[in-house]
Amino acid sequence: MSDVIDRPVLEQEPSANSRLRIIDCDIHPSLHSRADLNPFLSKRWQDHLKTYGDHLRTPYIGTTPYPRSSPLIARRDAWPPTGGPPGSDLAFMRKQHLDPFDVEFGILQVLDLFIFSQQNLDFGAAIQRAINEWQLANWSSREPRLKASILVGQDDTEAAIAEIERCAKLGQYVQINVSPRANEPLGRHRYWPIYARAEELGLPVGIHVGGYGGHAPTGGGWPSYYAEEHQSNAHTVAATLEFGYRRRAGALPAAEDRVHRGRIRVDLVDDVANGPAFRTLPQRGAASQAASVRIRAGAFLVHDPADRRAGRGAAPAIPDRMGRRRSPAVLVGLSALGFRRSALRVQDAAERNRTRENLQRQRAGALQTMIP
Amino acid sequence: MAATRIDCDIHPAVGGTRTTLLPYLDDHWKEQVVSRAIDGLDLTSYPPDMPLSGRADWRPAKGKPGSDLKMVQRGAFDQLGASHAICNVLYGAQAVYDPYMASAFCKAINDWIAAEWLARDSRLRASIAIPLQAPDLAIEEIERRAGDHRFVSVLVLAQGESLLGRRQYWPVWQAAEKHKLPIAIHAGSQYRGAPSSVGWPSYRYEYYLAEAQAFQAQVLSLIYEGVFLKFPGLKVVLMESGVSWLPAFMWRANKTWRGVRVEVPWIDREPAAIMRDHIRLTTQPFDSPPDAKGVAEIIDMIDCDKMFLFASDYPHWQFDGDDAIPPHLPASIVSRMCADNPLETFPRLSLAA
Repeated sequence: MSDVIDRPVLEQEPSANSRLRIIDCDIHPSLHSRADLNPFLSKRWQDHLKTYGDHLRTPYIGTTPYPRSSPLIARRDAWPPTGGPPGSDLAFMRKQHLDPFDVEFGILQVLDLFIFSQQNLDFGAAIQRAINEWQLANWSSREPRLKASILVGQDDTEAAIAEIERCAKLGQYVQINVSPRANEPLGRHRYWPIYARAEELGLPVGIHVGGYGGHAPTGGGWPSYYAEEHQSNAHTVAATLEFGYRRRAGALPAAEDRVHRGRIRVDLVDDVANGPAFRTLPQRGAASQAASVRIRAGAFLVHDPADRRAGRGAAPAIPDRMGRRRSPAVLVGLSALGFRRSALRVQDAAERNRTRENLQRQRAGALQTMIP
Repeated sequence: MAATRIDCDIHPAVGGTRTTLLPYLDDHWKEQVVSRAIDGLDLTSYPPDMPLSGRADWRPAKGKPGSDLKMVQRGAFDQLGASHAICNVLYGAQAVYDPYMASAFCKAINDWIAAEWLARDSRLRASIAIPLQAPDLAIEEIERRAGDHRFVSVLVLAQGESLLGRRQYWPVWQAAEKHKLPIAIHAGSQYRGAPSSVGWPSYRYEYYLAEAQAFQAQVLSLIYEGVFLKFPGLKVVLMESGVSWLPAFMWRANKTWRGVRVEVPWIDREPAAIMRDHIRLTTQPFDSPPDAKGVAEIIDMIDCDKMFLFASDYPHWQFDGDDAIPPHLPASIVSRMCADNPLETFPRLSLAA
């Protein structure tokens, strides 16, 4: 029994005459444990994974450089009753997410193991292949609504192309995923072979925030707080758009196949829906006009989180300013459908009060000690 | 007497360390710059010949844009109609690695601007160039200028060695607050790290766009580290940062704060509210939408008419013609940003020099 899923429909929420189905472009499946990958790794790489593990440009082995605000950045009700991390249990994902929201297709975005950022490129190539196989074996072949992504670390471009070729032959994958934070910005020439192949194959390029490129998260250096680091993801994506794609994509796709094919898609998952990229483009001169036109034609945004303006009447017409309200290009995200709202309903009121009291107490203490 | 119109960002140019600044260096540094040929410290952010660094009609026949006082007077005052103007000198003193050299060059820049610009035109004011590489030396330089009210702010670059909210800089902000000097963060980089989290871009165009994000990171740093709690009288001016990115940035900051504020419990109100109280922006470039409706929406979304400060960014090429006020700004904003807001932001403007 879940308050979210099993709550009765309220009077003010009547069923619509037509059925709205959604394609969720950002679902995170998780490994139950790293040993899940063993069936897809040679003995040599199984041993490497077990003995050495990751080698990433970040200080800690076992956690992220900036501690998050909740374990694994997950909603508290997302932990499967069978154990394991959120996103690791297909039956629970069906029950909690795919079924109640009538998700027509869900696109998998694997974040485990940071395959994009492994310093050891051979290890990176081995685990990217293993992760790609694991998506088919454990997810999309068991649940046809879920669609797998070809994860490739772009810094070994040759290995990336080889993996794209291998996966494309299988015909099961719907996009190619690269990392926004790598050795160099995504627009640099060295990465173009990946885009050329993506275009030929009719696969969009998905870019999910994250990765350890070794550069400070901001142009001004390393911040102290997760609050800052988290917002720097918006900078990453804006910079990626600005630093841009030289390959001009074709005509806008038809609504029916908007997710599946034919385009370079910038997938701003977990990130800026209304980010600064569209506002910082200079308006003067033919060349800069062309840049914003290119972004409009080639970039797609996923809507969660959407950084809306709160209160004060109608929200301004940001999609209009982005030039695509009536185009099929703004992908539907769950927050727009009230997912967040229902999540809030189940949050325990007493716990909210405790949080508030905790914050007040911490603030008083902090003001005395940290900011004397 | 013309109406008050304070141009908060113009750029006199230093010719060179061995030429312009030489008379203002002590014997040690005179010897050093000559014998070691320490010169050519123009910032990589602003190559003098790049179109952005100087509008065609504001380039002198000889020398860098902004190097000729008479030409600057004709441009900033006669042509663009300012009643006063604040000089922000962008020269590489702020980027050198040697803290003593940085300190000597900043001191020379401030002595030079006082003697050869402020003394020759009573309409001019200046920001204090400081060697932030060594906070104690930066404070010395602030104290040295504090008695001279023609210095109205403290100048730092948007991309330095570390984010400006961090504790090692607090004593500098304390000195600035004490002397009613706002912190002017100007576009430009020490090139200590990549200008963005995705690495080093190929083109200047990309670099210049990434500047806006560096400003955003500085604003978040100053807010979350608690600088404005510690120094409630401190104002920060973003210069040449662009403006129209602000609404989406504010929403995102509020959203992130609501989610993760447990980490920074001393911040007990929305970051956008703190921005409205403490952050100011100069209006060139504005990167405005092309239509009046779009501009009105941006202004409405920012929701604070105190944040805008008039600036031409002379001699940088941000616009053509004689009107430095971005198109479609409502009259109420224009009058505030030309006089009330600068006077409130730079309190020393009202003091006798």
